[in-house]
Amino acid sequence: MTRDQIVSWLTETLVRDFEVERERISLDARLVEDLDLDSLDAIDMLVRLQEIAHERIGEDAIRGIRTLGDVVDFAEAYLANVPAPE
Amino acid sequence: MALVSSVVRVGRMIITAGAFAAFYSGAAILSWILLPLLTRGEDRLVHRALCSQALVRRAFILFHDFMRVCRLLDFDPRRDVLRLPEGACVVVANHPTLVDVTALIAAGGPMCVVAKPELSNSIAFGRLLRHCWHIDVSGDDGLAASSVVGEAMTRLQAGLRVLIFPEGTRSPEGGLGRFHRGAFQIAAWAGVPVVPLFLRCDPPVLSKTAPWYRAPRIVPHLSLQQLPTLLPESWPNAAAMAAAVRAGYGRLLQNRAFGLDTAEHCAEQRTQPAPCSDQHGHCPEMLLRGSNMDTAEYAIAPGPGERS
Repeated sequence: MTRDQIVSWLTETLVRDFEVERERISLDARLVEDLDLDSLDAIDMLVRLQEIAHERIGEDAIRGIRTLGDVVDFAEAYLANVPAPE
Repeated sequence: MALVSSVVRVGRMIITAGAFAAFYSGAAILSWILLPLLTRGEDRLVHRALCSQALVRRAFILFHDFMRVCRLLDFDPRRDVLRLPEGACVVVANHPTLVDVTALIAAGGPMCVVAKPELSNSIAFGRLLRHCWHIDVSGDDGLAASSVVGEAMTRLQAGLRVLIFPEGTRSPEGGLGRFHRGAFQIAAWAGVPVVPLFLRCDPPVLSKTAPWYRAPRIVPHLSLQQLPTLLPESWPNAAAMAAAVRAGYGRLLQNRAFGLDTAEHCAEQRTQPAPCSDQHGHCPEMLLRGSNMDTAEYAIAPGPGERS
């Protein structure tokens, strides 16, 4: 997946499954404070990333991920070699 | 008449304030005096947690006795005892009122809950939550908040129950919020059963949108209903379990909207099976009250409006 594909997939996922308003989504948006995502949302997000990456993502790897931009940066490293989800 | 009604409401409001004051005071006493004293010298984490949770459960029973005697909420944890499975399981429930956690623990026994950061950091509750080994996610934010998975798994591996509200917050009045699959994912990863519980408060009180001082005219009744246990190995994934449980809750709420009381409906169904059976001869309410279920059984149960 390219960076643009990751951003697009993440945006659609947040709008469709996390009920985040599209206008609130930006790379600077903080997951908790700006998008109102909680610990259960974090699990959902992590599981979705794992499903695409086809590998378990350790807790240490996700420390410090606070904004959507952080998620994209992180996903870019994990998802560089996998096809974009349909 | 209107004057009497107003006086009753104001009286209820004052008693409600008193109940919450007593609740916070009791929590502080438990946190700072009773739990440290009673678990002093107990170094075994799980044992200390169980002792603490048992004591807190008794306090919750007293709290609900007080609420019931004062006619604030008709709920008797001694009458509505839940028969939860022995050992580790993930208990999930909808979340119509502010007192659901106290009601579920009072009726169901010790279980670990995921505590909001504001509770974990509060003077009254923080130490109590740590004594009971409830799950604290206050140290993590962003994606790292998913560390709740590891915390929950640790409790489950120790043989404890974990209570999670899949909506993550209180339900909207008479409805359901967005469901997270986290609780079900944890159960799947830990390989433990999911026990869905359905709560109903009629008329709604202490809900997310209603201020605590809004007292209804009649005494609200809180009821608990234990739905069939889900075994993760029988389901394709956590999302499917979450969707099935949400659909089950939705159906029960819909029945309420259609004026069908579950117990009455099922009693009626036993004598008149034809009118509300689905194509498989199952009553949707009975399906939700039966024994352990698999994917297909949850999926086929229709709501009243869907019956042919």
